[in-house]
Amino acid sequence: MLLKKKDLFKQLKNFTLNFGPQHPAAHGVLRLVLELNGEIVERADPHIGLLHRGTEKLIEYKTYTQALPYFDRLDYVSMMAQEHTYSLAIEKVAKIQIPERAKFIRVIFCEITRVLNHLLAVGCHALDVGAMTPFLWSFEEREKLMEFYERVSGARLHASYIRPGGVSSDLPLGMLDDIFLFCNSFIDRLAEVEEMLTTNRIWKERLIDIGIVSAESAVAWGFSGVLLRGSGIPWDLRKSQPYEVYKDLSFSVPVGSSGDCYDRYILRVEEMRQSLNLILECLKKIPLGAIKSSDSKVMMPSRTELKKSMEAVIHHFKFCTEGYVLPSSETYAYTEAPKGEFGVYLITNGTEKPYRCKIRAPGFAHLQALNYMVQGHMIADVVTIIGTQDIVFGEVDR
Amino acid sequence: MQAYNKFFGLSEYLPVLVKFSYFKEQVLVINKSSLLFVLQNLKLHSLFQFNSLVCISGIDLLGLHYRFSVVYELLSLPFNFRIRLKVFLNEFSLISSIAVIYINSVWWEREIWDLFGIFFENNPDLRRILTDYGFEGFPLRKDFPLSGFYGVYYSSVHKLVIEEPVSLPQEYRSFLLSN
Amino acid sequence: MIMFVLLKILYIIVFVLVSVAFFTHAERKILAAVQRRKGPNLIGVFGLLQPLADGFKLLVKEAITPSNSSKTTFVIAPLLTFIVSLLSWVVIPFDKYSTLSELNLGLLYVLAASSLGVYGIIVAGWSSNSKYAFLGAMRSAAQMISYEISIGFVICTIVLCTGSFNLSVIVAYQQEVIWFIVPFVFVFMLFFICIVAETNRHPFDLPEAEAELVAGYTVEYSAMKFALFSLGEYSNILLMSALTIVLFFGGWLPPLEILAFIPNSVWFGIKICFFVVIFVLLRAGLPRFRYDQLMTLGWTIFLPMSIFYFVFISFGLYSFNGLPL
Repeated sequence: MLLKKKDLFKQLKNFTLNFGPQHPAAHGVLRLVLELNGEIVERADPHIGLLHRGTEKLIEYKTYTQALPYFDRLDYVSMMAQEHTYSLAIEKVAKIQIPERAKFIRVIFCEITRVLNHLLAVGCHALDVGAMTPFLWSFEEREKLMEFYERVSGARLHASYIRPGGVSSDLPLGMLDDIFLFCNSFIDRLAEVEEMLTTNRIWKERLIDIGIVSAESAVAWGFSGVLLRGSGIPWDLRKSQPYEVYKDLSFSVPVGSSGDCYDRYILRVEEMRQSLNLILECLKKIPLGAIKSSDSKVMMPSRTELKKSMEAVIHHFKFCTEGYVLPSSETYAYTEAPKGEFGVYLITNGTEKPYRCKIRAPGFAHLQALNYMVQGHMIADVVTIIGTQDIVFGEVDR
Repeated sequence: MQAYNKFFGLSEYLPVLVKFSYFKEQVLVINKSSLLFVLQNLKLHSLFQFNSLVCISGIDLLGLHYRFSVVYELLSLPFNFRIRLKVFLNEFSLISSIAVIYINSVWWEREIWDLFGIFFENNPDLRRILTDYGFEGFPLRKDFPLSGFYGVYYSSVHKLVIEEPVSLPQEYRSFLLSN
Repeated sequence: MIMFVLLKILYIIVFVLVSVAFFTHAERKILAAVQRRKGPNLIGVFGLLQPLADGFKLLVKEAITPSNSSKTTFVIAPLLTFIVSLLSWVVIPFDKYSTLSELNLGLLYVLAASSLGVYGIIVAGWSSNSKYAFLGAMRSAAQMISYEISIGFVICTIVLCTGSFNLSVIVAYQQEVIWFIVPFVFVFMLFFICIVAETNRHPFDLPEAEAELVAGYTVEYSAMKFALFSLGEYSNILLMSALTIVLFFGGWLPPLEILAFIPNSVWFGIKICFFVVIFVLLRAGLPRFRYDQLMTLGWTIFLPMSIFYFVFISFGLYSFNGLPL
């Protein structure tokens, strides 16, 4: 047995850096094990699961109404988008139609949620790259939007407002006027934030040509939302597979060209503007009417009926204690959440509890491609790329 | 409607066991041995072009002969069409990983391995992903209790984080009102 | 005589330390104003006693020394940084006859002392025995050295015009002729950016950026040692602003003769305040440079520019017979 010369040399291992769970820029709890060659990243291995709360298992033990607040807490920066997907899933299975006014209210709040999410995404991305002021300005605007959430549902953050069958309560008086006033002033705020960042030479140097994803890779890695559109693929679920009233609304979908972080940043800002246009259009078109479906298989009776008829009381009792029962089937409902395609795969088995509720979070698919996106970049760029993927650990870990 | 008809025509050529649809969603049930073949065709054939894997889910059907089901959700961007594929497995069978066809399936399969215990052959990186580092058991299986077996607490006596069996002072009540 | 000198030294040190304390407060308040919020305003009127509270907190905090560090050098590093940052204040002229020590090679002394500051950082990173601290210290040191060269060339330009390294002579020259800011606007801008980079200040603060390396070389320091690093850094900033004022803005000279009733040292103070505000606004408004972009900037853009200005101005002076003897 001869000793080979190459066995005598020590194997070179790359310098491993633990971008730990406690880190100001790790966007939640991300443990990223980076293998570095000098300053260039050779491999990035994300360890997730530090925020795993067992949401899917818990949902299997709760009735359909009790399971709704779990969806708020998944992606805790864009709350109503998840509730919306879940409600769409249940409405598909129960085959109920919701009134027009409810659809418009849902679209208004979905677009408000989109603005909320993009404000945080752009603000926190800027903070990680070093500009600390747009972050605080964005959060001031988020406070104003959360005031709308609070007026309509009572909770600033986790509003269980969009429910299967419509929305939980009607808009208070004067709300639409205030939304209109907000939209008018928001355009200037957005211009201020853009002025800080878009033409800034340092910002452009930090973001252009970082994290470039080609169109084929984007599709192969299962991207959706802004990451897909940034690479040049004009795919938006609101246009291609519309739900609610998006068919009747006119808005344009911005598409990037080079697939780098700068394009995605510009896309997010442009999407905020398009959301404003959508909200203004909905404000014009929203009809008066009911906000909850009256299908009694799934919806509770109204309070006036409760005072009159015994059957309504029994109905109400059954729904409050046992919950409503959905026929045995399965469905996959999807919406264009601000981060990408948020999907709920719901399997029902004729009882009052879901049999299996699988949550397809866009952040999970995006984080998977982190290793691919940071190849050949430096440590400072890893932070930029995590910021541009808009990762929120609530939905990645569930 | 057009895509629906065309799809049903073409899928006659694939080794599909059952075909049904829920609310205009197409579901195909296939044999696990023909999984790679079917997916290869669905992805690369120019009349299918399901180029995006949206999601892989696992389902525990406790009590049935084939206990587990792995569900693949595919999306075709050029044709704007979705399809679901189901594969049924029993407790001891392996299933081949589709990482060679769809590179983004690695994490979805890791999650199913971690939470259900379904082993994917040829997955380049099959480790735990969501559960804790020393966790034993497969949480999303129906015979795993909601409160789990072990709890991780900080003990001020030992001044360490320790793992202790979960002690439920009250028996876990399951409300089965649908009778 | 010695007592008198010691009193003057004490006076300057106290002045610098109090300025540094209020600089920290001013930074927080100005940042807050830019970000549409109020800064510290609970402790004292307008929060003016906040630096006192901060200092007290840092004094009573537990000073943790990592067990694997080399204990002696761990303590020496902040001391070194702090002492060196105070050293250069001896040659800064606050008024016509008010320099602590009027050295004929004052500018050279300032350059030498700022170069010594690099040692403090290297010793800090090394003795912390931690990957993050080590990386941060190396980057910080390399950044400081790179930008010092450009600073040196700009200083040479000024010295060419005045013919002396003595800071008081430079101010006197500006009194006779014109403030150097007027002919040398671009040189001033170059010098100012190099100063921001030299003091590890935003947008060049990647070595101590939160997002990347979580406080860089000072990551293992707590309590008073960390306070000394902070004091040293802010004192360095004030020193570099004072240097800019002396070299370009006429030192203690009032801008217009009619405003000469305000004492000269107050004018010096007003000008330092102006620069402090600019430093803080830079921090509020700009993203950070990545490390390799920073170093590229220093070596491929600033260095050639400063050399170019030096050569250009020297040719200009030579052709117009303006070179000092």
